[in-house]
Amino acid sequence: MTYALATDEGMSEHTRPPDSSPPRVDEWFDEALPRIYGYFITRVGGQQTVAEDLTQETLLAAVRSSTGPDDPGPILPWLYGIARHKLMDHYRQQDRESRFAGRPLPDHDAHADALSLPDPDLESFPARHDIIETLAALHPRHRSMIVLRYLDDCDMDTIARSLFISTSAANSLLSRARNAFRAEYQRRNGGQ
Amino acid sequence: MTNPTPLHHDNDMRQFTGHFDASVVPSPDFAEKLRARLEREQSEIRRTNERDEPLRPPVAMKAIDTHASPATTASAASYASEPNTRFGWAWISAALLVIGLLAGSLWWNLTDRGTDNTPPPSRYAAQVVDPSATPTVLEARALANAPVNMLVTRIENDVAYGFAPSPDDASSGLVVAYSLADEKLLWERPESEFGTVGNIQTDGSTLIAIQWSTTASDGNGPAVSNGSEPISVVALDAATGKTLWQSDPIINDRQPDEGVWIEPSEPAFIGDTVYVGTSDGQVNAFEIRTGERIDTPGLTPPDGVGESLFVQSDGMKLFAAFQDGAIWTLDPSQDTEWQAVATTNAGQDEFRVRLFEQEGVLISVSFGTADSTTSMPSAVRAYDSKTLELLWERDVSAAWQNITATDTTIASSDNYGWSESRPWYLRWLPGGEGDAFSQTAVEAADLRTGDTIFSYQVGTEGDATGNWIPAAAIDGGICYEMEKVISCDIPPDITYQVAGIELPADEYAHAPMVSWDGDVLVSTSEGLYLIDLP
Repeated sequence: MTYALATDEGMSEHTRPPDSSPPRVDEWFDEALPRIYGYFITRVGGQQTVAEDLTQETLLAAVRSSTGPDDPGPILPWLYGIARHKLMDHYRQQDRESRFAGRPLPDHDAHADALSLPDPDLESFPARHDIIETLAALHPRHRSMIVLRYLDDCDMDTIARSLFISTSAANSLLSRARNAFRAEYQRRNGGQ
Repeated sequence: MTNPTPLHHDNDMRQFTGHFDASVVPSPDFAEKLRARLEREQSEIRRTNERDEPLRPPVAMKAIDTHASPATTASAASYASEPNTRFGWAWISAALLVIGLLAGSLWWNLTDRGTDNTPPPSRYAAQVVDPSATPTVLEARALANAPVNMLVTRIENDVAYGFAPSPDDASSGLVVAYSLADEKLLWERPESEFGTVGNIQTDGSTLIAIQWSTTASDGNGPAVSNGSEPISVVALDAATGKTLWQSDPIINDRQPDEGVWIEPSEPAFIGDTVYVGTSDGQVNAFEIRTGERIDTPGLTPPDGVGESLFVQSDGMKLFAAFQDGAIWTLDPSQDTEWQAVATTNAGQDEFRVRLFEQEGVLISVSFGTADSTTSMPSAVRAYDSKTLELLWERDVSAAWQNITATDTTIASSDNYGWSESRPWYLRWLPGGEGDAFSQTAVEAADLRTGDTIFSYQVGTEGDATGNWIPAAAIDGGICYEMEKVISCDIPPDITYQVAGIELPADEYAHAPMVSWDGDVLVSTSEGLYLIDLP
């Protein structure tokens, strides 16, 4: 019985232990760690300590799982699933803190119709860096919506469940989150 | 109907997909420490499992056969009684000894402390599935001239009132009235005139919409600085779609306490007044024909609660609930302040309460997220609307937010899993204790007693994600659910089905369903479909 370490072409496969327990750490750690860490670092504004904490929480949860991924399911999507929940928990915690602290967020006066992103070269570091910083500046509710929809490519039902809101509320929030993102992005880039 | 051009530049955000998942190598020091900790943790778990294995024989989890008769449906007890031939006599003896000790301990607990440690009976052990109750030959017919991807919130006099809340699709922001009898669009209010719609409700003659403004109250553009945008209440003539009145913003873009997220509730009607609550505790009341504001007492939100004031009415009284679980009631004709009448599930961290009034029964569904990474234990409670006496309560999963009801029955989808042969309510994440497998079922219960009428498993075991059921319709005692089927391909192939009928839709489908005239109405991103039931 085998399972794939990742869905990507060229990633290795491993024989699953006969007792159906979760796979051994040394079988997946080296390949999974940079993937999971890379997932977090782009979604927490490049904050290394936060990304490390979330990576550790994710992999610990995987090790403590009693079952592992569905046999013969690939392990990396399973780890990404855990990672996404850890990330949403992190955003919710930030959201709760913002309610008490009243963290002000960047202001802007742009009109929605004028808000359209330029075509950033996402292969280039500066453009990616801009976007990561823009995400970090958003309200946690907006950020979680953009991450789930456009970085993780989740469908709206999944997003609604993840944020504990109705699908209609999620759709409405998505529209506003996009406006917030574009406004913040344009503000950081001189209104281009 | 001609769909307008999308206005919200969804495509320019689409370019992000797949560009933020590259490998990033963390510091070697962090990697080594984490590896060591994980290996230590796993070794400890394996040692513990090996030590405990004789006492916890691996249990082969079985799917519940949706077509099985009640008598053949697998039960929790049958799972636990699976024979395991790997054990030798020595292990069996040891197991019996320890089981004896455990039994003694259990007896002591039950007798001396008066507590009941018996595992709760599984609600899923007794499945009542009557295949004949679900017609096997059905056809879905696309209705002519119909809008797509609509949330149909009300059908009055064969007119469906709906809206498209998402700017992801071409019909974004539309509010429409569609005649089901004539298959004719009666009127529509496009987004360019109307803005983003948060919700609509109608009493049959006036349609009340919650409008998220595209411009701030000071005219300087959309307000996204603190997460709250200006929100107004708009009244339309249900017959023509023309605006009757529009309120001043009930939520302004510049809240005194920046950073607090404030959202409106659904509109609730009592007589000629419509009520819309906001999560800062305001209850806004308007005369439904003129828009004249009516003074109504507000509520003080609990500390740290910045959202989810849910307001409902039974036509006489208002009911409201915050996230802290307290339920309040107000009779606007005689009360000068809200009365606290019940508390649901208080004490759990971060949860929401949804209220739902149906035929004299007030249903509260509280969503607990105390252990949000793996489980989402929730509860549904039913109160007599007049006396607020608790009629019944039961544990459910958070999927019950999709509750629907008739005069006698409530129904919902429910996600659950098993742990040690006991039900364990899940969201959808595999990866925590108790995730032996997860599953989605359609459940129906008696509105007044809570007794289970049926529990019908849908989809494939272990894949609750693929079987999320966004809406339900009950007709003639049968509950119809939209099933979202996701293949294991990458990218996944997503289809929507009702009673085995595949409906054209893409991933943006809102998939709302309502009952109409003995049939089921389903709106997808491709059209509006009517399923003629025998």
